[in-house]
Amino acid sequence: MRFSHILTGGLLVLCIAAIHAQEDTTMPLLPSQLGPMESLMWSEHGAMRKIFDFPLTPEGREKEMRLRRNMLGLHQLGGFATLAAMTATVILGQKVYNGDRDLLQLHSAMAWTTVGMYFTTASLGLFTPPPMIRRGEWSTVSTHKLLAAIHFTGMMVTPYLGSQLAKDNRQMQTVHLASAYTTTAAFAAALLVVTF
Amino acid sequence: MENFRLAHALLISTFAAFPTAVSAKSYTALKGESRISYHIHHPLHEVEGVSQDFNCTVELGNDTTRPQVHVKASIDSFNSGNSNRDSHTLEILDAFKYPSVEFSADSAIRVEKGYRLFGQLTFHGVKRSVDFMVTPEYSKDRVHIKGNFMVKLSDFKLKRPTLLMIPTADDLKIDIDVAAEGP
Repeated sequence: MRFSHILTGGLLVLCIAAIHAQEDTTMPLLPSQLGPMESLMWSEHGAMRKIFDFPLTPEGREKEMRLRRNMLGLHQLGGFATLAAMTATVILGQKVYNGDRDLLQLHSAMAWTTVGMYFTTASLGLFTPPPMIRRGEWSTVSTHKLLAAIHFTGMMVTPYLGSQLAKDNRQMQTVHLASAYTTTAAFAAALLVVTF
Repeated sequence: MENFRLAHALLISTFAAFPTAVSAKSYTALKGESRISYHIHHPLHEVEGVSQDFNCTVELGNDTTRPQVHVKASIDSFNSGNSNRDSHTLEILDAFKYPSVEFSADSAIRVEKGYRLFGQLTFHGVKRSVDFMVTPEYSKDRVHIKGNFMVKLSDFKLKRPTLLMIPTADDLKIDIDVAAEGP
């Protein structure tokens, strides 16, 4: 008799606890899906948690969201500035390709400026704290990342090709130019797709 | 049948005044078939976010002008089809502090086409009175309680989200469609 009372009481407590757990609507601290860089840096045991003062708490994540917003704002501004520099570099490159060799030094200087701006801007996007939620559906951000894979490859290949060009290697110059146009087009598209 | 209709009409943020006494009953909205959505206007976009995972219960006692309606939705259950946008929305809503939106109603009156429900909306930690019309629609084995109302983001101490430095409208339209088992 006593045992059945204890059992009934225990079951009641369990039921009430289960009902309350079901009604709990606390936000998860991290999205269910993290990218490789996010896992490395911002997961529960990520580098930012271990090395720097970024505790995985609601207050900590609120600060991370402000940091994320600032970094993404700068990422977007940097994107527009980089696109302007990249476009100028391509125009100068086209003129050099057309025979105006006097512009080669300026083209080269602009190219390295563009490379610097590009990787600074890219790192702002790459190292941001993860968002509050991620469902994995295809979105404009997915398209942005797909295009980023193209222009990132282009930004590795194009400057390298440019630095290796011989004055009289017309075929390689054409490949370099085509690579530059492809990279710029992918970069512009990546920027526009998340802006509008 | 009329009692049944009333009870289900009360179901969403549900609702109703009914002349005759009924015994106390509890009703729960069907998840997956019920939905709450918000609509917000931006000069470049119309955004709709939908939740199909929320709790809605109605306690209907003898005095049907005093229904106990409770709706609670987790903020992160609203899906606009773009996680990045939803994440930004959660930031604006301070979702770690205020993870849910709640509506509680305790009175209703019958009007021509449905019911007017009176209650309190708690959103972003701010509680405000709201009242709105709901209308029951009956099908073979379901009743859908539909209604909508407008709120202002500024009333709930919320900043308007911006895109290209252009803010969204201050008005937020809430649509409700709560399904329950029919007669």
